[in-house]
Amino acid sequence: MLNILAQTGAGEMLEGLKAIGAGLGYGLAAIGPGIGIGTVVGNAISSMARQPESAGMVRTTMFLGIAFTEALALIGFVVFILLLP
Amino acid sequence: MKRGCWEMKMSIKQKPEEELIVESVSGQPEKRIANHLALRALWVSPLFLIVSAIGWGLSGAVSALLALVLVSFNFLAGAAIITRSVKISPNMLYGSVLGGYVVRLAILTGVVMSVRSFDWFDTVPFAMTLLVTHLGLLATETRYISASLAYPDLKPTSSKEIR
Repeated sequence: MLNILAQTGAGEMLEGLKAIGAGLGYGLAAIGPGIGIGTVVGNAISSMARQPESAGMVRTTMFLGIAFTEALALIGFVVFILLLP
Repeated sequence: MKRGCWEMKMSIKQKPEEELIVESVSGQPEKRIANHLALRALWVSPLFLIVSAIGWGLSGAVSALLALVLVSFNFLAGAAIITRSVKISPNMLYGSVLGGYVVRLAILTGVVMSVRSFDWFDTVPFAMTLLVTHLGLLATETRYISASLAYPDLKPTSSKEIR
């Protein structure tokens, strides 16, 4: 492994590290929204179970909450495609 | 005779309210909001296409168009997943929303990774349009959301009025 790394040029190494960083960044950026969406949906289901008559209102709020939370993952995605070599 | 006049007056007064009530009846609030968002994305698309075309040429305009299509698809797919799964069970809703999030991100990544090597794809206008459209459309959509018991999705307007 170290021999292979020693044989590669500095430019190639930099490109590879950039790709690894971009992938790691995207993966880490997707974790937060995943937790957030889970929280949003969990609380929405809880409130729908408590008050079924307000299910429509809760679904509206849930949809908007999911979409806003997803924007964080999109920011990670944008950074990923901008960093990719 | 008097009663007839009274009924006529009542019917004239009640007509707009009836229209509002008919419009508000919808069992799929997220679908209505997603359709409204997609329509708004269609409205703002010329602005992004022109700005991208001025800044990056034809490739920028095509990239911005791709971003707009992906944003609309994202909203519509998210709403369709909720609409279908909420009819089955709360557990299904939970699972499909979280699974749908991963699948939609995978589709987005797959589409971009497959087209990024083409000459007509420009990263910067694509990224800019994707982020600004997604956040901007959502922020403006909050002005049109009622989220009340009577009108759970969009604010009521007369059916002929353009939003």
